[in-house]
Amino acid sequence: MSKIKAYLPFAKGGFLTAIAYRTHILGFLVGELLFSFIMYYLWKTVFANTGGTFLGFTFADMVVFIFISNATRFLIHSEATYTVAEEIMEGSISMRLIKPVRLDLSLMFTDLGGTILTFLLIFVPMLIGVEIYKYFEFGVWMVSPIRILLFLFSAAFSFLVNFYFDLCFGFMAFFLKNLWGFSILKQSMVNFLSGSMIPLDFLPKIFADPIKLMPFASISYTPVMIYMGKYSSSAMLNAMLLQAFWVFVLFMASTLIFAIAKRFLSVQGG
Amino acid sequence: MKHFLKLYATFIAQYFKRLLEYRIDFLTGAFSFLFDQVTSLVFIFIIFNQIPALSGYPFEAIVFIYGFSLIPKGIDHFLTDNLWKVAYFMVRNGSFDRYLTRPIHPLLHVIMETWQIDALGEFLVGMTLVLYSSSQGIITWMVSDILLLPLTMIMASLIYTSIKMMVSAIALWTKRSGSILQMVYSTNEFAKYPIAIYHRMIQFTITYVIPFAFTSYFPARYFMTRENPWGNIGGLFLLAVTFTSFGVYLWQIGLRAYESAGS
Repeated sequence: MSKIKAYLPFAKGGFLTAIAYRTHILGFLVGELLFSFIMYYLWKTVFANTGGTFLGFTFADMVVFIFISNATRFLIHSEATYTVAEEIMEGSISMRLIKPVRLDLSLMFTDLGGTILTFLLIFVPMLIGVEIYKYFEFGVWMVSPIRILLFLFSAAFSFLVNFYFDLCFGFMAFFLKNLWGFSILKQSMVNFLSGSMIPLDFLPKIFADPIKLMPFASISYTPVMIYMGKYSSSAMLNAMLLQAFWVFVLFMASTLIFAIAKRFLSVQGG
Repeated sequence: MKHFLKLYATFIAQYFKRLLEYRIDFLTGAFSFLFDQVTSLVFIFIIFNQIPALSGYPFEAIVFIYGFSLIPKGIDHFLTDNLWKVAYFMVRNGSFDRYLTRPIHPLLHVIMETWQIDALGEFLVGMTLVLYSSSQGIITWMVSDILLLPLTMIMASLIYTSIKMMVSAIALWTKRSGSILQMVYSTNEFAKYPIAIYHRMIQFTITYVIPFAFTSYFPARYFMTRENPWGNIGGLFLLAVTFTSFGVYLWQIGLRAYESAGS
């Protein structure tokens, strides 16, 4: 318990930074919402042409998918890649290394601090909005607290998968020095392969099946499908076990890469 | 004019030196913008696997509009990316001051100081899509298009540039306008698809307020149907000229009101 206490200041720092950069977050929010609304209108037109369903999705399904995917993106957002890459380039990573805390946990708690703010200010309102939408669409309240809890549980795994993936990626800066181009590439790959842009089921089976096994699907697709009730209990269990598996693999990978990368660290004097 | 070109060449030579230093990084940047567009195409492709037309437009027409939107966006992104830095941090951290000490106009200096090679990803995808879709029989090219098409692209790029000029000029008063610019700029995403699919409010906004619809949908529709040249193309030219003049004007009075943020 006292161990966790050592990391709370990092969470507080992350929270305060998020508040200080609120206009930045607002810009990010508007961009993301805009994208969601484009998707909304695009799908609305598409569904008007298909007569009810599109590859097994109804329009209401699609709306829930678009906005819950978006809300999930906010929840799992991590700054680890940027922070690590920047600290490596500046050399300030050395300050982090001499502290008696774990590098991964200190970064994670910084992220979590920001997540608290986005959870309250963005995620909760969006969730309520989606539930209200469902009420108007179906005429009955369909709020399922158990499903929301399962979603949050799965989203926690998503956060960890995304975090450790980001961290592994950030460590590449030890070797490459400048990470800007790669991090944009990484982001567009994650957006597509995680199934947060298009439900993975829409892809041809030959692509969809392998992609679902990749760590990216654990980042967004799994929790969103849980929220939408697209899984049977056994499928849900399997999907969550797969998430846990990827957390473990990426955690080990990040530890390993860090152990090797540390030897490459050269900080140019200040 | 000769003096100007010589200056520009010198700036760009410096840019290429930086580019060579981080060449892998720059290439991946360009590649990722390309990758982004390709995933959007997969998306359009999936949709058209299920339906024959989207609000009356067949696959080729949607690809044409989509590709068309990327070309002016790419041109502007390539040439005037430095305006983002003014909006985000140059005024704030004081580095903007140096432009005031040089013997050329600060706005010109900011723009000609650098290129953004990543934009090639957008530009090349846009060109490929326009060439591909227009070869599928949705457009009958006319001789006058040799002149009209490039001119349209330039005017459409000016819409992007002028909006970036106007919003970055706000930073000359407020020290920072990056987030506003981000919000205003991101509405260009609406222009990738036929505007008929959106709510009336959105249609109104991207036609009359932040006129990104004139960078793709309206001119693209003109080339496909040859209808209403005054509205589709004339409107674009009028807006491009008005917006650019206003952008330059805002910079002029912004520079007069400018107070340095200090060291």
